[in-house]
Amino acid sequence: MASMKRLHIFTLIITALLSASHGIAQQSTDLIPEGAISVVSLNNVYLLQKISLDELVRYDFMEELQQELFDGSTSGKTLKESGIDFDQRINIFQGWNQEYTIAGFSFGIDDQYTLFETFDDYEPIESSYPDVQIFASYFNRIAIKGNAAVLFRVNPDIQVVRDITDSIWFASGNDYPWYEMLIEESGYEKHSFWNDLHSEEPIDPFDTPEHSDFPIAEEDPTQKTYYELLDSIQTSLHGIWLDEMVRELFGEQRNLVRSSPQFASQLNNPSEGIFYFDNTRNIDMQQSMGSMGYLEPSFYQKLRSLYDDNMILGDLTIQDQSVNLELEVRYNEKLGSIYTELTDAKFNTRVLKYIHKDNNAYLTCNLNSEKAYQQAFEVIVPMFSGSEDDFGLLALSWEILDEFVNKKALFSTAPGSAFVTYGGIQQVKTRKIVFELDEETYRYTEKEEEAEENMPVFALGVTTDRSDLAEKVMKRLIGGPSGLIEHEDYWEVPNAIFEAAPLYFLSKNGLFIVTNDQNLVTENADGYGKNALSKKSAKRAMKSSAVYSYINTGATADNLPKGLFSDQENEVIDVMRGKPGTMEITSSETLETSTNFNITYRYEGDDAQATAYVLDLINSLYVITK
Amino acid sequence: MRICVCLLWTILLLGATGCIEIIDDLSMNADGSGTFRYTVNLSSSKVKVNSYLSIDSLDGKKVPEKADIIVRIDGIIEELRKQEGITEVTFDGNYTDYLFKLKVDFETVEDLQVAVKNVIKAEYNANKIEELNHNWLSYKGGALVRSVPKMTIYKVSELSSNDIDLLKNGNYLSITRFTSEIRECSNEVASISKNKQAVMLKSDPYSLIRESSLLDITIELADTSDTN
Repeated sequence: MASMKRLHIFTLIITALLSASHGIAQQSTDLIPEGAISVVSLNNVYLLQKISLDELVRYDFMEELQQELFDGSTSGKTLKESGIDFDQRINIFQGWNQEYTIAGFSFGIDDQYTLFETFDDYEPIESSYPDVQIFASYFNRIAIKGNAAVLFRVNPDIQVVRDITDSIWFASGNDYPWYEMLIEESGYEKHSFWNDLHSEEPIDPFDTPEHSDFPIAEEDPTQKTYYELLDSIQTSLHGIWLDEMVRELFGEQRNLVRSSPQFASQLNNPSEGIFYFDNTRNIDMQQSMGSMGYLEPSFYQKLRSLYDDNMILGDLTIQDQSVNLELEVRYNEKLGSIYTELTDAKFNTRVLKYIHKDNNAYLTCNLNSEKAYQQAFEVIVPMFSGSEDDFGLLALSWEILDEFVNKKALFSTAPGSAFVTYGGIQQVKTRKIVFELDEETYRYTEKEEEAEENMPVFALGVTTDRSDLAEKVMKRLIGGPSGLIEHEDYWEVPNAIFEAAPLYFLSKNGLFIVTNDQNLVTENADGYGKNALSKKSAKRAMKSSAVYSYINTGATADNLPKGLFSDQENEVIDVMRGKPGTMEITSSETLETSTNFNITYRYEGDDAQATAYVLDLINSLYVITK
Repeated sequence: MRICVCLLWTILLLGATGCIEIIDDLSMNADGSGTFRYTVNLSSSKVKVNSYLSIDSLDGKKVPEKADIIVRIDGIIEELRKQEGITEVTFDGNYTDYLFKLKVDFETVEDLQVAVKNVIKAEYNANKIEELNHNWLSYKGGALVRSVPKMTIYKVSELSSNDIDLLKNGNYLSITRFTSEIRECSNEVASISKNKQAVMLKSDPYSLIRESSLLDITIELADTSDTN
């Protein structure tokens, strides 16, 4: 009996220990929803503790959460002071489907009390799962299990909301009487014309301040207006999809770690952060693809098959004075065969002569368009030829065209290497009109005089085996509407750039170059000689397979005028302004199913700056993949 | 390669700089009629203007196409021509150098003021703009009182901080001419021409935003018979 009792106690202790360990074992990565398409997962404890929440929320990747974080409750606080456990990863995720987007971040909890001092707008709500606490603030939720939490929000696609609203509205026998009224009485149409010129958003007849004056749906005052109905549906959908996400995560234990072995494997890498982007699901979830799948199912399926297993995985590492992002781009063999042929090109060193050693930024690329075309032809045409629809006809047209076109001649015009350079800002000569005042009468007369305006200087060149073809075209254009002028060694279109500055064309040494740098075409038509790229830099460019790029980030950012950026964008650019640093992008050999790209951000300054650089990179990834 | 070209275009957009020059010129005849000329000179900013016009949107806002601007201006000119007491409305739009010149003959300054208000109401559906109840021009007893409509300033103040730099480098010239000599004017920074028949006030659009009364002026003529 005693032994039975001891066994029972032992069993209880083991159970308790297992339960406790299960709670502790709950990791923030387990709370990344299955629907996440893009994830940045950071595990660098040291770096993130230092950043203030005020700085953090300026980044685009935090924009979905700004409602909470900009309410003042986080002012002056750092992440460390917000109850977050830095022994666990912080995972920023976003995902989308044809009905809604999700965004949020999952993290470990060190101190739940402190956490809710920061997220003080959140109130506990009922949870269907005994080991999960749920807190709500408007359309945001925080779900906590063990010592991990996920803060997330769901945004229903407005078109989906409108479709449902319209369906109910019209089914109830309503029309749009207010629309006519709006145009007649408020002059909305005229007003909207001016707004339309200034607004990127399409005009939305519902979205006016007068909507409260809209007629009600029926004579019965308890009936909702269109806008009230739309709001109700949006709110309901929010609730449904928030609940759905909670059910998936905690009821069905569905999360990204379980559904994506690639992501799970990536988490094991010993890096400061990882990046995950599932382009296959991204394509599937795009509304335009959904429409195509509905309208042209056969075409969609074939096209879609090219993008199976399409994914970008990245590792972020911080080394001495540098941040490194290694991206592995994965694709299937079909697409890979095209990429492999595209990058099967020998680097043409002629381009290096035209890159000045002091250029702020330059890029070289090395592509075999002829082989890529041939492979694309061999992969794509069989997918569609023989089918009865319009795409079969298109494939047949392509086959016929392929027979008649002189591909050798066509592709020899630009056979391999190309370069782009950015030389910084230079002053160029333009003309302006000035008014001269007569002091006697204050009458003024108009006069044209020379002016100088700042202009970024660039050059773009491609290698060509048929410079004679380019020269023929240029000669034909002389005296035409473009105003092309022939000089001894080059051609010029006087007001080609914004009707103010000249553009030059140079065909020399097997290269065709377009530039606005007069010095290049007049003084350096054969290249920069000893002022061209150093041997070391040239070697690095040649070593990189398809693409190589170098950017002096500090100098480039300093040259970007604030005037053409929004305040928010300037905040991001300001991080680089005045800080010496460089960025280098290299690519590996293209393999059948993957290519690696490496981005290295080297900075001068203390390690504290590394945080800003890491976040800059994360932000860039977020913006690019958004 | 296409991406590279796009990048280059973006860089070009970013590098352009320039400024704006505005001349507002009111010539009064002895009988109270006159001519109003309004000139906007963006020729020293044409790289910037062209760069703006070459993109679809900027700072989240749609950038109008040149054709939209022409239609819009034509509409304003047509509306101006319909106004009572307004004759000889001409508009010279140079869309290569971005130099725009408007010339309007008026019978009285009140006619000019009413015409401007009507055009604003018609074009902007702006019945509720408080400034429309305010008068910017009056000419009585040999004295002309001028100010710059504040709503112009309100409109400019809606510009983002980025555009403000453009205005700081700009010029705003306000000239008022008469057929007889000027006795005195109220604004200390105003200068009177050597022939004493014109007054000029000089500022920049940015300062005007900050202090709209900079160009307020009352001009008194030596010969008070030169009035309506």
